[in-house]
Amino acid sequence: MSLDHADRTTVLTSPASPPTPEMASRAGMKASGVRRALRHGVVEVLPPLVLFAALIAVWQIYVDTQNVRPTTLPSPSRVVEQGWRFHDTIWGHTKVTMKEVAIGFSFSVLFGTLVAIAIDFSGTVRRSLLPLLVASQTLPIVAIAPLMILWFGFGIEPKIYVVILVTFFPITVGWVEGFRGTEAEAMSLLRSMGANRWKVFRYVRFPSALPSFFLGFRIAITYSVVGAIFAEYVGAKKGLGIFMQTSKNSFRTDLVLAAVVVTAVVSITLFMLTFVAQRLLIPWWAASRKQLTAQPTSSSDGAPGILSQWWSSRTRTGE
Amino acid sequence: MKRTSRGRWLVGVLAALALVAAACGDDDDDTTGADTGTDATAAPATGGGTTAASTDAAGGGIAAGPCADTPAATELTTVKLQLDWTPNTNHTGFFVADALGCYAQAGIKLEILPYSGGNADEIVASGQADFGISFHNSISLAGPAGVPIVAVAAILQKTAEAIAVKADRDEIASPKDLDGLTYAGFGGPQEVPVLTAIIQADGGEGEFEVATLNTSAYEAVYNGDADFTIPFTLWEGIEATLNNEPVKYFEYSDYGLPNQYSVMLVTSQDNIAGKADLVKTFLAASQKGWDYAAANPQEAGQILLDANPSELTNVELVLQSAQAMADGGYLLGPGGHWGEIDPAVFSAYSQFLFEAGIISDADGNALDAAPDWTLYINNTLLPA
Repeated sequence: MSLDHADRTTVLTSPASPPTPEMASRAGMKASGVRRALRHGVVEVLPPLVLFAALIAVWQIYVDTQNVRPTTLPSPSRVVEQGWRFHDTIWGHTKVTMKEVAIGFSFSVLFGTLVAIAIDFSGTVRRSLLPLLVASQTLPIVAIAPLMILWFGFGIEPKIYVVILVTFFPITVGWVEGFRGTEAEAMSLLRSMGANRWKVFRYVRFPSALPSFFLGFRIAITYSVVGAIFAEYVGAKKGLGIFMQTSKNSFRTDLVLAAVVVTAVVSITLFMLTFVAQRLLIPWWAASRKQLTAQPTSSSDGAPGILSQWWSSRTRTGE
Repeated sequence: MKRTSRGRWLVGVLAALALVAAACGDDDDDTTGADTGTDATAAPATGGGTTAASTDAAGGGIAAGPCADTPAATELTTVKLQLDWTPNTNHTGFFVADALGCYAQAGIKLEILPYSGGNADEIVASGQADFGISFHNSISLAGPAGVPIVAVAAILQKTAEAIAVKADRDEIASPKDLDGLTYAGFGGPQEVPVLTAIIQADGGEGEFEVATLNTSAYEAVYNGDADFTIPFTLWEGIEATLNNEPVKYFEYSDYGLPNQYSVMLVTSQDNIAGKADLVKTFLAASQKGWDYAAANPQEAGQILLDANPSELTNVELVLQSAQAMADGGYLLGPGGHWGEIDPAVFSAYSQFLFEAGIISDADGNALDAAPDWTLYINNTLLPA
């Protein structure tokens, strides 16, 4: 039901648990020579690229040979061509959406961190807040978003709230689980040296929770763009959600899909950037992974693993 | 000022939630009603007298309609009708024709596909539905863009929307005063050109802010977040009056806009080519329902209410709207029957959209020359 200690390691990978090979391979890549990086690149990047290209080719051939109407299913070449033709317009809308994501996500990280620290310091806060956080994830956004327009108007506010609503939980839980996964030995060591609770938190619990936080962070960022677009869809002046809607009403399915492509590219870019941020913030993460690594493996950056953990965490937390 | 109005809206929202909860409680009844309807239409195979039963089930003892006494056909063909929105008085005649047995008599079993966000034109074009409720605006865009649909009946004979502002906005005396204000819209490509043309016809610039708010557009205008919108005067307009939110209107026709058919019934080109008889049969039966609605708006409104107990909870709104449509001459064409399409009327408004520059071909290029608008209508399938 609640995020109890027995579930800890399965809810989100705690720092004490063995490193996953996916992460290991990334760490290995940086430390190795150019040749190794190249080989890694081929092993890592080529299969998804080939699969992606094959899917696009099938789509293109299907549309060309079956004479599918472009308002029903435009060919990928048409999506790219028309998307490029309207790239100024699409970019204008994308900037609005990215601003919503940036503000909403920043608030989410800030508040998520503060709430997680409060939860870590106080059992009462934990017991009262965690169930509410879980409940917040069960709210159907479909029903809430239109009401937010009534409550907060159609400016940037309701979009920010929706982004916070969809990203707050994974970030907070990432921290909470990270704090709880701190090695007991390290803490007793610090305590034996006379450290108070705050010092223990600052020097042991906080740093050791960072990898777990980044898992939550990464999950959250993939939801943030879609959350913002959904919020726009129910009412806005500008943004990708509005562009998709007006394109749909003008029978421009190709432009709807062009906006979908932009959404995917933005989300994937943000997802990749989390790894950069993680490396910059916790360099020892990469180093420790390297030490524990045997060989780079062929699996990719670990998105499926993380997401499945996320899913199991959602199901485990009593939904 | 703003806070209090928001507070009021919160109350409104809570009231709406209570309504939703109440409507959910009725769900069982709704299902039973639907089942009864199905049984009644399926039953004719076993014998006579069932059309009267179906009338009773849906209409609750309404006087015999245009189809009540005629014997029912034995083999029923299912015809799917895709709605454009939750059931409302733009749909009355179809529900009436169903309840009065006009479809069953013609060998048709009507299946209403509720609105689920999809575009009715596309759904009909792809064959997922046989007919769809569409709009003059949408058809003018869909046809040249290569969506193979054809309008076969005008559901409303004239423009059903108007610019609305709150009645107490004394500083807005005519459309030119809308310059620089915020329009709460629905994401339709024709909205800005139409409003710009009206404001300019009134001597303004035609420059205003656009917020795409969909169903929240009306509330945004009432609570002052936005300044104007374009409601269906015979639905949202009546709703506003009933809710004590007085609004004032600027009618399109007063500012030089050609008349439009607003709501239209579409089918696919495939259906016209391959199933012309079924299309004709469906139109004839539908016309009986709509002609009945024009002559008996209160009874027709009640049938619409009875057929949609959980969707339509505001009895007064439905009955007033049905009455106003009949009284206002929205339903019957110059020939005295529902559905008539005059190619000249259809072309004139579509031509306005073309001149506004929003009509594109299948490749997304703005058209250089106006298309032949009569390609997208067919007025020969209605009963002569």
